[in-house]
Amino acid sequence: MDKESQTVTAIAEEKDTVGDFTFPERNKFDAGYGLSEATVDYICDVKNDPDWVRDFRKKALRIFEEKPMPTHWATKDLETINFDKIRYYLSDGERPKRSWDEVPDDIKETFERLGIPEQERAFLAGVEAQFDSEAAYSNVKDAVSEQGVIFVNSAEGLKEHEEVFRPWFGKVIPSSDNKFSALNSAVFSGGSFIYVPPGVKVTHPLQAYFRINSENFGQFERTLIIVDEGAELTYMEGCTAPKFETATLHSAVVELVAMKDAKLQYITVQNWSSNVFNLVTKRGIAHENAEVRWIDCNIGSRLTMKYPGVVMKGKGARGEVVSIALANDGQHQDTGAKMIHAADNTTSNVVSKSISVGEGRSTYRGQVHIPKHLKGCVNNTECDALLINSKSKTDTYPAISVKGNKHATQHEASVSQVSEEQIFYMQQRGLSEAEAMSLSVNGFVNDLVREFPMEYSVELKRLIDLEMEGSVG
Amino acid sequence: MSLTATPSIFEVHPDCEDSAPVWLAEARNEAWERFTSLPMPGPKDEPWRFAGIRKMALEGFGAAQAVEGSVGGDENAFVFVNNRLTQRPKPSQNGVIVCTISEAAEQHGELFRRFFHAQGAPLGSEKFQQLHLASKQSGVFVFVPRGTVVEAPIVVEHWVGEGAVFPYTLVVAEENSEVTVIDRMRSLDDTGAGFALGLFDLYAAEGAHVHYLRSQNLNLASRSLAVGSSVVGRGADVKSLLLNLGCGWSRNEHVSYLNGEAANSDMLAVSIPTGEQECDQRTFQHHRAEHTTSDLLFKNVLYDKSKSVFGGLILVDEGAHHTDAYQTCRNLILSDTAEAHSMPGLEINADQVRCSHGATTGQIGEEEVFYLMARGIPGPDARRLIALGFALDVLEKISDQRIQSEAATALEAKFADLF
Repeated sequence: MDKESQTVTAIAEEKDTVGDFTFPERNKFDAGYGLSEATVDYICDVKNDPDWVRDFRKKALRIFEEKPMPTHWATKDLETINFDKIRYYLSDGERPKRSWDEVPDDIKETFERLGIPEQERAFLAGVEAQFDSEAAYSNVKDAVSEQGVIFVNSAEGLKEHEEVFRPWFGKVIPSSDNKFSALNSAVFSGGSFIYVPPGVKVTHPLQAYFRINSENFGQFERTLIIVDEGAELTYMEGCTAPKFETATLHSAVVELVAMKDAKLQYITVQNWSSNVFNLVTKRGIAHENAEVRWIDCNIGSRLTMKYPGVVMKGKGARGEVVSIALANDGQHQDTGAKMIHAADNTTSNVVSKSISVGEGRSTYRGQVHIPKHLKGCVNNTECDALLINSKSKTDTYPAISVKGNKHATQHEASVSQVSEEQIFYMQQRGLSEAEAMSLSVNGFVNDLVREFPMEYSVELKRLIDLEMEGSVG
Repeated sequence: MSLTATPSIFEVHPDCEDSAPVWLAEARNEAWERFTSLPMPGPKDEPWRFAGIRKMALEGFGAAQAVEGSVGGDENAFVFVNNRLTQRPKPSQNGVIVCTISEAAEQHGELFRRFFHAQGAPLGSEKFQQLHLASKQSGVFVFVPRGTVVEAPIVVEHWVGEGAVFPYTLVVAEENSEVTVIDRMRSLDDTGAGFALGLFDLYAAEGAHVHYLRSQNLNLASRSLAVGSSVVGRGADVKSLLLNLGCGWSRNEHVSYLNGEAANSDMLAVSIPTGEQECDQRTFQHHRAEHTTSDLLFKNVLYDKSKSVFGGLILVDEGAHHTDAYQTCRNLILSDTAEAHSMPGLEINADQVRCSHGATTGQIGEEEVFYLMARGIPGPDARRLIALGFALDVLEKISDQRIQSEAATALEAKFADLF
């Protein structure tokens, strides 16, 4: 350990006493609080970034500083983020772990505290767990790498696989896309880079668990997934975070590229603690006859703003967003979808279901864009909202632009309550009101929950039950 | 075009009529101040998203000047030519007040003042609404006393040549009364560039029924901006239909306030833009009380390089439980170069609410055309019939026969012109 990083560690440890988190942190590198060009330089130095990445980060930083907060359409809650009180880089500085036994005990204890069952932890052997901003644990299945699949963290990706990484990096989501994609581009660390070679069908879903565990520490993962011609991949990302007292910021950028005939499915279960700002930019490009699906579930966080998008660039490409949001007291789930049709005969589908409990607010924001001189584009959008209590809130703001007469789009939204007859019926048969409510809500999202892999859908049902506790009576 | 002959309405505050009461003169002065201090709407303003702001080009308009001769409009109508009254119908039923806006200001001061410009413009055009208030208005004030049913529809024609006019239709229906009002906007010729900056406020007190048609068919050189409101009390009902057939650029902003239990507002519109016409419509259904209902159906048939924008919002206040609110925008696109933007919206803050919105954009199904062709109807006629049927469907929701038949005639004439 060099001298500089020792002092940095000392500072980090001192700061960490502020939170209610009880594990000692071993942050070898810490960029301190606040964001400036020096912070970016520090991150570049620590990560040993190549020059082109340093330039990329600095350019993005300038864009971030110039762009105003999008509060002319988004919630004013964004203004409560104090960018000077956020630490932009932390790392335990150790190499990504290769096996479960090598994972430090305190990290294992985090898993324990999060209540992940023993069997599932064993299952996590195929998991890359994000602890702080670097992948603290990474064990890519041998079988996957034998197929020629590259599954590494983004830092390794940009250094070791520049020829694949660089042509697509920042191309799906340019730094200037929005203020938070610029922020991520300036300070990103962690996240995954995956490349699936032509024709390879990855049968097991690849997974990554992200966890925040430092107070005021925002995570800025950067994920880039490229699925080459005719290949298939399912990727899963789940987030859980321990409770902290001051707001944390999470701002990831996820870029997906599906080449001709490829299929790519990206699954997220987001359950940040209710003080996290989760401002994420996710977009995929689908080339000819390719398919990009976003399956998204938002349960946690204070404010989530996430509108996964698909740019259908090749003929016959398909895009889909399936989304479940659950907003409880103090939460605002502002989610949606963005479907950009850029070639003939492209189809997109958006199905969104939200549940507002207590004083929670859920919002759907959508954009469907079908430009001139295309034909045969089809979009279907359905959003259904369920209001549980009389103070629950829901909003829907889609925008659909269609040019030309060879397309079909339809949008439908509805808002409803759990029917009293249903609850009464179930109570007649011996269920408590809360159980009846839970069952009813689970029924509302059931057809979407089935889109998730089995272990996720079980977890989802449990989470919904948990959130519904105390919402009645 | 001689737009430069008269000074721009954006630059010169018109003198108030000498006969206007003091409160009105003051209100106009204040409105002019607010008009000049408010910024012009820009493309980044959410209420103006997708709007062709460059196409508006309103600042070039001067006030419309008086013209010689009569236009021979409907003899049962109030006729205004370039913002000036040229004809009035026979006096109406006893007790019912139907007079011009300036007469109302002079003769029905207190009553009129309570309702005059009492609604804001929450959908983006506050600046223009202030300009309207600051200007001399044409149009009528209708006041229907308690329990009175006005048999004949009140018809108002606005003929526009070159320059800006400021029509205002203010309808106040007292408890359990009923009235039908028809506004027609027409151009004096095919080329004069007119600008109709209009307002309509429809008040229905408890149990009252108001039926309203605004039929806009100005020439393609003209612009139209209408800011309207339906203010609906307990058990009352307002049904409005906006027909947008003319104008190079037109925009309607229509707000419904459901203020009392069992209040209902039906908001209907049909727009048939052709050529390079742009038709921009923003709506707001605000449910402020329990057990209120509203239903919105806007249909657009788009030809050539035309463009439509629909932005709508249903807002259900906290405590406005048992609300039923619906909002549907349907676009039928008949050319490869037309574009339709739909932004339906919902904001629900209450419980036991049934709300939905839908937006569709599509083209004529080939099977439908084939079916008609198989029965001997040529392809172009078949398409026109289908498009006409699509538009006429909106009229089914209208209970007032006179509005229904006038609108049907206008739509049929528009489609007959298209080929």
